[in-house]
Amino acid sequence: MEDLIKKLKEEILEVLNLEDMDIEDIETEAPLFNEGLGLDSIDALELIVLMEREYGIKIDDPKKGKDIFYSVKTMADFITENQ
Amino acid sequence: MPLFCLKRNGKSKCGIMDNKYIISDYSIIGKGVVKTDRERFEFPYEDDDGKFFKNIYKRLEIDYPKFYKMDRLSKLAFLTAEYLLKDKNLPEKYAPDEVAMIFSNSNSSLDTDIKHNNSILRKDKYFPKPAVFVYTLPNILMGEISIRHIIRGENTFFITEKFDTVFFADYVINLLNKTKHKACLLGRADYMEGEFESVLFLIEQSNNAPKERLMTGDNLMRLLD
Repeated sequence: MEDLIKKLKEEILEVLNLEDMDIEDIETEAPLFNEGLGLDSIDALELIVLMEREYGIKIDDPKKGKDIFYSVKTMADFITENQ
Repeated sequence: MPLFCLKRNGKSKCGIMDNKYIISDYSIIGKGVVKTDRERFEFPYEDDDGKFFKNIYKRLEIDYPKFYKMDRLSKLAFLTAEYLLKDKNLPEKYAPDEVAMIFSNSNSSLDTDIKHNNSILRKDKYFPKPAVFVYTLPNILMGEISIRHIIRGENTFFITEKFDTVFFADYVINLLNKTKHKACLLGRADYMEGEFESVLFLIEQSNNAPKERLMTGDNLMRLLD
């Protein structure tokens, strides 16, 4: 799980172009949207694409996105459960 | 005293502009330094402008996560505005639509344009990133400043080879004289492949200002030196 969380943080920095941040700047359980990293709907699209491209997981129900992308931890849990 | 000329129906009307405006404050960011009218901070700069901007941001002790999502040009302008406006409380002094913003640079958003272009060059690796291409216009930086400081007045971005302070002084005075705006942020922010410069002036009305702070091209230039 630790490896997956580290990999996810690196991927988030890459796809969201957060080039001046380090993985230490992302708290594993902190909210990704609004507060925390302050992500928005455009970033949500990037994360959906990331899930599909890197982990082969398609998110069919957009309503679930809010819970899946709450934090890096919830993303990692979802990947672990669905791969 | 600056002159103005207006053309209407083929006829020109020229006169002397009423200059009651002053450069009330300014901020400058260059490599290794942040300067305002009252303060000067040195920051270590070791060929890593990302780290440099991050250090300046942390020194401000503000919580604005969106900063990390901005491209380098917007980060530079955003930080320059933060240092200029941090104790000003602009929204209490002026209505949002009473503050105008005039910016310029010579490279537009080319640094980010190239980054975006590189992400769509190869058909087999065609991954345009909204997080990047949203910054492929230079005036986005004014949007970032507007959101942060609640500014909704006129805004214009010029692409000019050099910072023609005489032109911009006349432009701003004319804007303040002829419209409802009461203050103006006049800025120059440029970023291209690790080379950057940024300056922001706050122009306000005052009847009691020293001559060297009157809004003129010469005074703008002098503060840049």
